[in-house]
Amino acid sequence: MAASLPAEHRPAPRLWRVLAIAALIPLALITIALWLTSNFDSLLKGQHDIEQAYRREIAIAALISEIKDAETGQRGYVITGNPSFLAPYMDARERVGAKMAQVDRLFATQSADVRGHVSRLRALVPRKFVEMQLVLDARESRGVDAAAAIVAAGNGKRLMDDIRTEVAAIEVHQNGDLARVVAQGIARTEYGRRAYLIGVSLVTLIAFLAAYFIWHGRRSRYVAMQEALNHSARQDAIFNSAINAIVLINPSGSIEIMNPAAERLFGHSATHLLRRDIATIVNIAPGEGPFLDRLGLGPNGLAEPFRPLLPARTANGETVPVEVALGLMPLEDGMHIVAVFGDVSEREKVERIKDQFLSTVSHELRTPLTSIVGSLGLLRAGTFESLSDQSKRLVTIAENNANRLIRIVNDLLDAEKLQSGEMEFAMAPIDMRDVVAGSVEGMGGLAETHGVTLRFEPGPDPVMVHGDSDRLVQVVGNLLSNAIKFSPKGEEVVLSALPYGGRCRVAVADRAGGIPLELRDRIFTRFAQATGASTASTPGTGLGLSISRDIVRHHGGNIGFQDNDEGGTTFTFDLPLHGVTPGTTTSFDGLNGQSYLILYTNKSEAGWLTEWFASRSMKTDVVETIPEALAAIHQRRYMAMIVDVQFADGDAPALLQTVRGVPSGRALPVIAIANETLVSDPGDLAALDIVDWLAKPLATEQLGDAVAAAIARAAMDMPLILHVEDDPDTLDITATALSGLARVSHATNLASARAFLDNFQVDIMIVDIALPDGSGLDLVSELSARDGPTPPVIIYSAQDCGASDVREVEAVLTKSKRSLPNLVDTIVAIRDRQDREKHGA
Amino acid sequence: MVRDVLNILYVDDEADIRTIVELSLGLDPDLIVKVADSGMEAMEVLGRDGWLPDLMLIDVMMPGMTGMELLATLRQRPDTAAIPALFCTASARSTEVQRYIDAGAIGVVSKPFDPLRLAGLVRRHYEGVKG
Repeated sequence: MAASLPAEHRPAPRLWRVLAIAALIPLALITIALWLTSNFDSLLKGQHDIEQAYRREIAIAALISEIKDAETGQRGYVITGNPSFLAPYMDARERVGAKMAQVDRLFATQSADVRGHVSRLRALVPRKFVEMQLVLDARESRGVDAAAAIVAAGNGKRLMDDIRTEVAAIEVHQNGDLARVVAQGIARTEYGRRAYLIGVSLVTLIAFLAAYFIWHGRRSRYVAMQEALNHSARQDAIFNSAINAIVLINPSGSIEIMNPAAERLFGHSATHLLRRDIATIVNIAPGEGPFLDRLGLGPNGLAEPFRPLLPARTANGETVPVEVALGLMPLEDGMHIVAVFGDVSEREKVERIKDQFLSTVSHELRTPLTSIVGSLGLLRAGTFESLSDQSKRLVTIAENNANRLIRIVNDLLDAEKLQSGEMEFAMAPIDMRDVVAGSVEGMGGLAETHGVTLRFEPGPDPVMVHGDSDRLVQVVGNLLSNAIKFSPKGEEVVLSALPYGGRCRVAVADRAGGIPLELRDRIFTRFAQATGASTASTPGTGLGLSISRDIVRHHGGNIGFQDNDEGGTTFTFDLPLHGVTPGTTTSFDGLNGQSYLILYTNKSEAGWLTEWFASRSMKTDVVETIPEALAAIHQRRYMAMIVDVQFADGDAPALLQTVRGVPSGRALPVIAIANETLVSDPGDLAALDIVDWLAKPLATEQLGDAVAAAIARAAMDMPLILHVEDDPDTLDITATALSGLARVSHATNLASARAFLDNFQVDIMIVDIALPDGSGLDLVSELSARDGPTPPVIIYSAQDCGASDVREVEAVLTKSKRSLPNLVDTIVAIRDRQDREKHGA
Repeated sequence: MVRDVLNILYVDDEADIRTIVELSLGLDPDLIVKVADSGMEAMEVLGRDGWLPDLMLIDVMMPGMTGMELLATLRQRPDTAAIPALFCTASARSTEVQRYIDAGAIGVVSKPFDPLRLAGLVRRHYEGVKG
């Protein structure tokens, strides 16, 4: 099916294009016509030129003929003396002026050379007539001899010769002219013929092109129409035969069309619901305001295109559970919505049956298993009578398989609950070292059976995450049991739980044969199990890794594996470390892992306290004398000191004054523990700024409250650090390193750093140089212009810079894992100095 | 360390499991177990001839009177109101565990259990309350 384009992408035919094409054809025709016309004009001009040339010749001939007529008449009279011979002469003399004027006019446009001949001709002709008249006058008055004497003088003949010479010269010119004009005319005619042919060809071509385009346009339209018809027929067929109910909704939320399946589902006819609000059948967009807004249509489409469960109202008033998938259909009159509804009542029914079934499995299957496992367990232990070795083996086999059945039931239930989101997690701050240690302990038996050694060396510091301890033990247990089961006898499985790149990483490394190739990309899917001889003796449920992945994901973590260089596989999962959410003030939970100093002489009481703190993932140092306590305070920073006042043998004030006298003890929160008399009347101890008094015997709850108060006090006393940095990993790592030492807030750019400084009095600043909106050094140079004391600055950047000469800069450190302790040391040093300054030591 | 002798009442409709629990708890010679096959029988056993247990272990899913109903009833009886009770169940979902604790149980033993460890588990629960 062709994807339909949004309306705005379909090009509409444009008027100006049609007009341009319509104008182009007549324009071409007019141009051709004008061109041909100009050719005809030129032909006509050639003809006219020839005509003029002939006229000029005729005019010259006529002039000569007049002169000859005049001469003939004159001679006749001279010879005969008969006056009738004079008539042609008289006529010619009368006409010759007009003929001469005609010649003048016709030659006016000729070349200067010709016009010279003509003007000489005009001067000669009157002179000829004057000479002829002279002869005539002599004949009349003095007779024929006198006339003959004048003629014999030759003047007349000479004039006539001159005239002939001029005429001959003019004729030469005229002939040349005529030949040129005729040749031009022939050339023009030829050109005109070609132009005519070309013009006709062009017109024919244009006619063809026009015909072609008209045909093509009509054909495209026909094809498009056919396609549209086919498309619409296909769509109609899909629309009408779809099992799912499809409803087309216009931008205001009214129903435009619905298919037969929708009619069946909702029990309404399509015509009946036409133009009715979609909420009549299913309220897909509850709330107030325009339909598309209520539906959650944003610039990136629908916020929630699939809604798994909505009640639909049918025509007969029943409610049917439906799921709906919403699609967008941009049309010219706005965004339409295609809603595809599926009846999920059957599925809901199946869900209920499945729930019931699972509950049955859970109870009815486990109850007999309880009896079987219980009986076998008691038998195997040989509690009541000793069994033969063979019987014992059989009982062990039966027990192992019954246990396996229990695991399968448990795994099936877990997988189901995780899949349906029904698994409940009891989230709390937990130390992953405890989780791994717990799993190692739980799997000790299995490891022993398989002859595999488990090695876990917990690191010195707690690795705190926010999670469900039991579930995480299950994850480690799954990884561990796989590692054990696949390891060859005598090998070792190594576990670790350490902070890694701002997260907690738990790793289980084995020396087994590795993950088979065909399993690698689906090992975390359900029922992905290695097959073959190597695994025949170590069956599982095929759900363990899938369950582990789901549990880890629920904790915001991820799970994976890699091959070890020296063989075997390491499965790892990473979880977010607890209490290192950047930018938040360090909370009570975030202070887990900090140390407390216990000053006690009663070893059992001190032991109880140590355990109390350890169970909450807090560390303690126990000291028994005042010098030891002072040395400890000097060496490390404690969250609080817990002091048995009796220890000081009634001289508690002296003890506390000593502690308050050293710089690191000045602000140390102290919890005092004393017998009831002292607590009810603390006397002069009250002046020593003690967080809380606790009476013996110690109650867990009160101790918890006192420690919380001490932490709050310590947090109040912690410096506020602003870390300006755009790399989330660096922020994470730094915040982790500084937790318990300072309240760390962060700004990821200069603008938010400035805003933070406007609102808070910052004690120390850690500044990166390369920030998205400029250089951190700019921020540093602005500091002195701000109100209040200027905080010391630590430049903590990947790039080396010449920042050390900026006055406010306390230290310049290059970002790396190794420089982190330097950063912490620098901050401790600054804090100690600030403490001294504050207390005016 | 001297261990107290503890009287325990176990209530379960499943005869097989009653037997196994009796045997399992019997591995600790200082645990003295009486059993009842229903809530009604438990009500009768309790207080008969002045006998009251130190701890009750009650199956949750029983026909007639459920474990929850039984405990609620016993909490109304002055002589049994203060006897610590553990629930025993084959469907130990975490929400349900909380429900059982809220109903007044001191803990939950989930089925299937390890018969060799049951006595220790029960004892630890008991000591958690008394110690």
